[in-house]
Amino acid sequence: MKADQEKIDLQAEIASPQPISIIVGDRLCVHCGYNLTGQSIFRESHYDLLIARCPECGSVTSLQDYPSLGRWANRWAGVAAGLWVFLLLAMWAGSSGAIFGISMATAMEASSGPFRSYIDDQFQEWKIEQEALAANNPSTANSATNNTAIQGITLPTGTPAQAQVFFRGGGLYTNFSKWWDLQDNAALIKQFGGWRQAVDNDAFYFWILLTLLAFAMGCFWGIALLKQRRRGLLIWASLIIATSCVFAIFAFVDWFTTDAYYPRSASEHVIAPPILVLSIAFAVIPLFTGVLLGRPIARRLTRILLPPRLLNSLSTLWITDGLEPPHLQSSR
Amino acid sequence: MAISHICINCAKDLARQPAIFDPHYSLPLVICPDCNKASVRRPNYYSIKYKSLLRIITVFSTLLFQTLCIIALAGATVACVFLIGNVVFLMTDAELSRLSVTNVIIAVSLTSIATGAWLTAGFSHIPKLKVWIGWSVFLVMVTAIASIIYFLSKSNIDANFGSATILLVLANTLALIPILVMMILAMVGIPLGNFFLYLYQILARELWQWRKRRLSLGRTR
Repeated sequence: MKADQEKIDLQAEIASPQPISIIVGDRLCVHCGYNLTGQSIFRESHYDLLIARCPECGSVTSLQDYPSLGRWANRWAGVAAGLWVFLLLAMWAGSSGAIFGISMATAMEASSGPFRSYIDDQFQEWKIEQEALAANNPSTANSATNNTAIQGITLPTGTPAQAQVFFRGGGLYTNFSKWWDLQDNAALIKQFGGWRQAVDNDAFYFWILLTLLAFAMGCFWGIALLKQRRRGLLIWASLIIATSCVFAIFAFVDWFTTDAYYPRSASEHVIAPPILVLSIAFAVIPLFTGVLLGRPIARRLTRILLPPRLLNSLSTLWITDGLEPPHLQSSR
Repeated sequence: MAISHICINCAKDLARQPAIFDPHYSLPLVICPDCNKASVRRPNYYSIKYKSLLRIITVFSTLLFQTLCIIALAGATVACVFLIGNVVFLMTDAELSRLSVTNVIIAVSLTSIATGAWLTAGFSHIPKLKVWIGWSVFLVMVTAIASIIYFLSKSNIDANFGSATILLVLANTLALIPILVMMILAMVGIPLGNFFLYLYQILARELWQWRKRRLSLGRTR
């Protein structure tokens, strides 16, 4: 008797309702939390209620809602939104900082190569010349070109020649900035054999890291800024690059306002600025690619890694680009 | 004070009207005493959010688990390929005696079987051929990248660019053989993966029965 009644009810339910609409937004099943987006809405015949059935747990969800009167729901929503905005701002600064940081590392590494040694050698030659001149002309014996005299330091008798060179050249560089101001940077690079020789090519290994990181960050932003279309995403990526450029300005100011006291800093003053600009410009390619490909990659990966049952919780990834939610695609 | 609940038909506030539980739909219903229109009392807002959170946690845990499996198994496979390469081509007898060949065989077998089981159980929603071909291609790519990094770090590319490139190509080509062997060995893991799937299905079925009983689904009103 009971079984018959069940059968009749089931038949009535199957026969009577025709879908009158489809859920297009996010609406969770009250029993299991399944996202009902894409499910059909029926007019139930007995109570004349609008209902949808959860395809996972089978339970009926009423579609008639009343606003929640509790204040805490809105408060928690506000807190969550605030945290999300804070996270995005932090990530913005982090992304720009990371691009700037790796570009800066590339620039520093590029300037620490053979050109630095060349500057050092040139300076040592100049010093030897100056010391010889000073020795020939006693009136300038205590001039600024003599390191040991200036510093008031006398090297102990018997100090090996190599150590003397190190002490005078590598340890103090007293007149380096004075010598450096007399140099023509472009001519110095030309003498050395051009930019290709001057830049330490090992620095460009950092570009592998830069590519991976910028692409990963691009993917993150492509997914995080769900409401943005391609244009908006590209504008955001440009903002990240612009912020990196702002960070770079501080480095430029530091390079152009301070004197070079060592061959290393002199080499940085010449080589690092263009390499820094080049690295930041290079980061544009993986960042923009990541931003544009982030969502398709995320969709593809979730499709591969997750069983269809769990996919619909991430259906926003599809809906936001005007695509059908995955569980509806697979049901066809 | 009860939260306001307005009848959508006649606008009577049903806040003080007790809800009756409809066993067929498992919904708390309030029938308006004036117009007889039924409306559903809103379920607890936070309980839905909690369930949604649980579901999101499940989704991200699964993603994390799958990602960790990819990293671990791809890493282990590449390590095994390097081990096999070392055993076959590079090692002296003394080194071979230290790193027992048996240990290498055990490592390769375990990695392969685990890979086979995981590919079967973790990707049951994708056609098998696609999964196996995809994983093999992925392994070849990872091994190629690992070899490139290895050679970049070991050899002086500027001085011996030609020979380094030849070595690199040779290493990548040779790596295909152990990968192929491991993928064939991985087929041993298929029954194990099927067993895991069977266990999962039993668990899911039991969970569904429990949920069905709890929600009283299928009962007549």
